[in-house]
Amino acid sequence: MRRIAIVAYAQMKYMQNRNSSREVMIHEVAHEALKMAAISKGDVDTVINAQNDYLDGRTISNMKTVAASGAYFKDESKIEMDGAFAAFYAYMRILTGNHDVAMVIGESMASCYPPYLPGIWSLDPTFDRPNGFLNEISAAALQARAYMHKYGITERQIAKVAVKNLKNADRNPCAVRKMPRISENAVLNSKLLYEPIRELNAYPLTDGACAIILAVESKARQITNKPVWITGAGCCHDTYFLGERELYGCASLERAAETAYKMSGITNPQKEIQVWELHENFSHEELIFYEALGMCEKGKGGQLIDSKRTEPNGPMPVNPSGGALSANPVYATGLIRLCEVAMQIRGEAGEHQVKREVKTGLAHGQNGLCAQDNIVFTLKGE
Amino acid sequence: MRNLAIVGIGITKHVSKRRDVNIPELVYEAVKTALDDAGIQPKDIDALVTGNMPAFEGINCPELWGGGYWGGYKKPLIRITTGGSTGASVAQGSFYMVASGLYDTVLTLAFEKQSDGNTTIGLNSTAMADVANMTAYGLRGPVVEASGAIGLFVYQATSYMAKSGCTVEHIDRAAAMLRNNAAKNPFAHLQQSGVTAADIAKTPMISYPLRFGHTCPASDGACAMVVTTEEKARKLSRKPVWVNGWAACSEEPAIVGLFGAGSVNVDPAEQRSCKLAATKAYSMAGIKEPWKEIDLAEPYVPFAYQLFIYFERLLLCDEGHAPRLFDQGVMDLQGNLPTCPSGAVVSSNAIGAAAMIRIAECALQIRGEAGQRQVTKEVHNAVAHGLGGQANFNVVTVLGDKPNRR
Amino acid sequence: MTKSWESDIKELKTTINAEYNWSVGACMERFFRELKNRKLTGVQCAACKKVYVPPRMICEYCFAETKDWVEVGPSGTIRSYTYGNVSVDTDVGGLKNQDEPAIIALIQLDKADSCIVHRIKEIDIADLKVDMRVEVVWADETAGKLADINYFKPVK
Repeated sequence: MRRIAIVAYAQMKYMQNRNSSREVMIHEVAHEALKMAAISKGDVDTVINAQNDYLDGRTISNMKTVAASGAYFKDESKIEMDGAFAAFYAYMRILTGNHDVAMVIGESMASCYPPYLPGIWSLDPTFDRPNGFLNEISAAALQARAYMHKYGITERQIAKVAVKNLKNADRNPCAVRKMPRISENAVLNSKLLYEPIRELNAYPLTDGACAIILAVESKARQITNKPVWITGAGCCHDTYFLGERELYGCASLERAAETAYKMSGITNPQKEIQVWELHENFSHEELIFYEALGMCEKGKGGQLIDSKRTEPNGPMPVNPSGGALSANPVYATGLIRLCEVAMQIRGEAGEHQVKREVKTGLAHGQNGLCAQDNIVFTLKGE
Repeated sequence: MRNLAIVGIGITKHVSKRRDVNIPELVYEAVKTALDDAGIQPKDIDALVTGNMPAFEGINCPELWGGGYWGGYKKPLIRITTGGSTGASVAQGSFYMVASGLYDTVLTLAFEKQSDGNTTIGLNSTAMADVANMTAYGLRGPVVEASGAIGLFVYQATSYMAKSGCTVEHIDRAAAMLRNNAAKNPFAHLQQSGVTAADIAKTPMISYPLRFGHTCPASDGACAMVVTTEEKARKLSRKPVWVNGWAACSEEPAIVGLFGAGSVNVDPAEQRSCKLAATKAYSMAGIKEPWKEIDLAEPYVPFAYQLFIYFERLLLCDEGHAPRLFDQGVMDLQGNLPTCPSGAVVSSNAIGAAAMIRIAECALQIRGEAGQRQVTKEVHNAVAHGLGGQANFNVVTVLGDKPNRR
Repeated sequence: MTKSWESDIKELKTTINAEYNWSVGACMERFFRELKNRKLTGVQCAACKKVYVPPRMICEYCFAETKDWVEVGPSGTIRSYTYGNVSVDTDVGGLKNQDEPAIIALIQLDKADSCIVHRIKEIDIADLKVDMRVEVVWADETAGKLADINYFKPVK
């Protein structure tokens, strides 16, 4: 099987309102990624975009971004899901041998279109949508309550995730929400959205784009001496119906992680993975993800955050970048997780580089309400 | 890269309104047919690739709600959307999945339930963001009208006619042929047996040179296919249809937009991206002289004149020659290079599904299962095409009755 | 890095209005008809015996068509709940404040295996508990529409 690596990446400074266009953002990150790789547009064989027609306010949203993404006269396509799924498709394209170098770009602008309505528009139109009770946040709140009820997780434990990530974000120049002096009480006193989810436990509306370049080994070695190899990848789709998922867990993430671990030969994730970048739209999700990924036993997510083992200097640093709580440009977010793990492995994460040496990392992306679909990548340095 | 084949096909009969089913239920019909055709169960499916154009139903990522109806429970699943070419892009997604070695058997599906929405809004919403800004700056009239689907195709048609000598009468004749083909296709929406070019010529012009008789309907329909490895295909199917070559190519959209989008493309009839995609797909399939080696073509033809353009852009004849070849009967069901025996998109257009049905039709013809519309020529190699975006995405797939790689 | 000319970019807000008219399918149509009769109904999968409300044509776990109709409820059990201090502003897409917090819950109706999401009234927020029993309150006049299910209230 071909070995494929992340060889370059680009993020932008995420903002509440870039006051610009998505074409400008896309072009910026595509251009910067090419510059980092020191290759030209002509060296890229295929471009995969992660965009959503509703978030972009344009049907066939990638129709007009061909030029900006460097896809002119190239084999370009679009995954209408979180960017990590687009990276997966690009990875498979290179695996076939049909392509050697791929550019993956994810973007959205909440200032153009807040994602809450598109979230409502993904609901069952025969019952949930016309009833008007469910949206992304109220669904997440139902999950939070189910999780807290099942295992006795407390609001304070959930708040600790926000404190960790928003403090971590202070060391990430790209993050839009960073709060170095945030406290648990500040989180617990922040505006209530849907009980128990408070404003600081929910992702910030963000404009952003991210690009990564994938390359097959022979090309990767020409481009960089620090290739970040994709060693495992898996994704999984769960049932739509909240009442039929075990809401206090994340079965589709378990399945996705299982596939990625098996593919990469990881048998003891707690020991073999040195950094974790998870796509947590809401604080409580991160705790649920700990359990689903095998970072701790079921029900022990609260204890894990209490133990501080997932702090940047802990043995299992989670979201040293600040995670989605610090910047959530929907559809770019999963791609940013890949980017951040690559940075950690390459030692290029600057002030938010974790202290311990990072050889292997895990990146996660999600799609749909309450993380209905999940994707996991394991990445490894040389 | 390992060989892969289509072993299961399901297409629903396209109609203007399926009120008896909701979206997931409609797609289930195609999925069930494809699985039964392949002789497998959902547990044998390793992954799904889905797609449709959300604007037409107003549902964001409908596979989140519907995936379970299609065997997607706890399976890897991805969604691809590229406008009119969606069905082909989705199918190619499944080809990549199987060819990558990560998945053996993939279910690919595409659909549209246009009766649930408003087709005009769906089409206009492709350009509103760009046009709204232009009208704010004072642009009016023809430039604004050009941004709708009809507008852009009008320019493509007239440009093509000027260069090729194709006339409105040619288009009338093409439409008549396609409508008659569709009448033999149990899945097609518009079935008008015995319609003549003169009948088509009586239909009023929408906008020169396009008549109502030249244009596609809006349909409710779904298509699903099962794609798998050579080893499994030989066990499952008497006649696997081998996916021998595929490629896609994107160029600048046909209408100018914000931030310079579309400002290079001055001739939407050129379709260089189609020629590039076709070249790559034929090369991958080991086809050196497509005009000799391709036995059947299913270009994406929502407006009858595109039969000629895409016949040429798929490199099946020299540029400008397609109308003459059509007149010689080359593209007939009994002809030497039958084209759109299905009746084409002009007879059935559930937008998301349309480009996948081109592939499915080629597959049915290769299998010899196309019933009344089975072409006279023995079909060994066929080419299917999808057109998306603002005529700026071209997706080409080459199928054969033998695998070409080893 | 924002470019210098980006400050010249102008912003235009437009609304795209689109109306949709979804077919609910034969299965849900029957559910609506029974609502008029003040009945909550679901379907059962012959293979796994699970009962789904609202009814759906396919059991996704068995990939089998569901044929047997079951009357469910009128009571059920709360599996999870929340209440909204905000809601989504469907005009502009952001969040807007709710004057009165609206309680919604994941309710498993008696005889059903799936849950529905609906609102709870006639209860103080402080008294909300998972595993509480609730029962349906019908609209004064039922017409075969979703609004026939007015809300759920605690079972005394």
